[in-house]
Amino acid sequence: MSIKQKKSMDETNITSTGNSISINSGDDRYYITNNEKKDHYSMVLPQNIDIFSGILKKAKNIADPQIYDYVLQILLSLNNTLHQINQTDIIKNNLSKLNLSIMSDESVLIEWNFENFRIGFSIEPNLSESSYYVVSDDKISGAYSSEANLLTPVEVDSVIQNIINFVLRNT
Amino acid sequence: MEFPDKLIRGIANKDFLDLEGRACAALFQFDDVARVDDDYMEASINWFDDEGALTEIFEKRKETGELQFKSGAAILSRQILDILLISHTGKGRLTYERNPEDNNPYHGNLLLVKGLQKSVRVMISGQIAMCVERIMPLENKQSAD
Repeated sequence: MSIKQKKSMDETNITSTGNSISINSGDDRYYITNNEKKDHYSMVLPQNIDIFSGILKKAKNIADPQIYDYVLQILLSLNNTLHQINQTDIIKNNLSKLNLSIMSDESVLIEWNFENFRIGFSIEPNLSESSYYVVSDDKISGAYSSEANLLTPVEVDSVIQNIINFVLRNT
Repeated sequence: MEFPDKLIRGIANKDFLDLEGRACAALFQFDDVARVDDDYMEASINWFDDEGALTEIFEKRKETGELQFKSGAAILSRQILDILLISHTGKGRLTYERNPEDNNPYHGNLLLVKGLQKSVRVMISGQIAMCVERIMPLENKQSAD
């Protein structure tokens, strides 16, 4: 498979890095927010497509501010794209939750795992080496496919649009 | 050299599992420094020759006395891994070995050739994670057969 083919808010800003995107908490939950467009981006997604449970709290532990900002850009793009699609045509898929790991080399790996395919975003201390991958398998036919590409900030929204379309077609 | 049907990777903490309990690519990070003799980077495993391989993982302790693999063990199918290897070994990227140690006869390594772009290394870790058949929680030690 190839992606090319185929509530209320607590105003306390927990981990602001000075950018307009931040992680906030309220009602025992964490929210990703664009402070300039709070009403739009702070929308809470329906449970079946709320892929952020747990990950935002982990993201607060990222020490490198540049990596942190890049991670938030990716999470916000995922959130916004899902929200926009869901407004047009309600998403009925049950989507897996994201996982975030801070690696020993200080890179951050965001994983989105499904039964037969996996997606990952690797944000590197040298931001220009950041990348994403899509791997899939068919254990019956033994067919594996994979692709890995560098990911620049200007490409994030278009890459995530393609990835979400891929996910919604295959779940 | 003969290898059993399954291999085991210890899970040091729950961050290596996603909320659905699947093994993450992060579990299969390779050492940063490559071996001098053959330029491979290692990711340590145990070969599942018998139940002792699992016991070794579950009972392994750090120098502090703390259990090393508190979140259990991932059991991988060598057959499925071999299918993956076919797509990579042609390029000499990925292989495995036995590497018994004095106190661990089951020990071996997944081996990834050095010099690959980080993006490719991360992708390969994601593929290896897909070879995991089951997760054995520490509190639920039982046969993997």
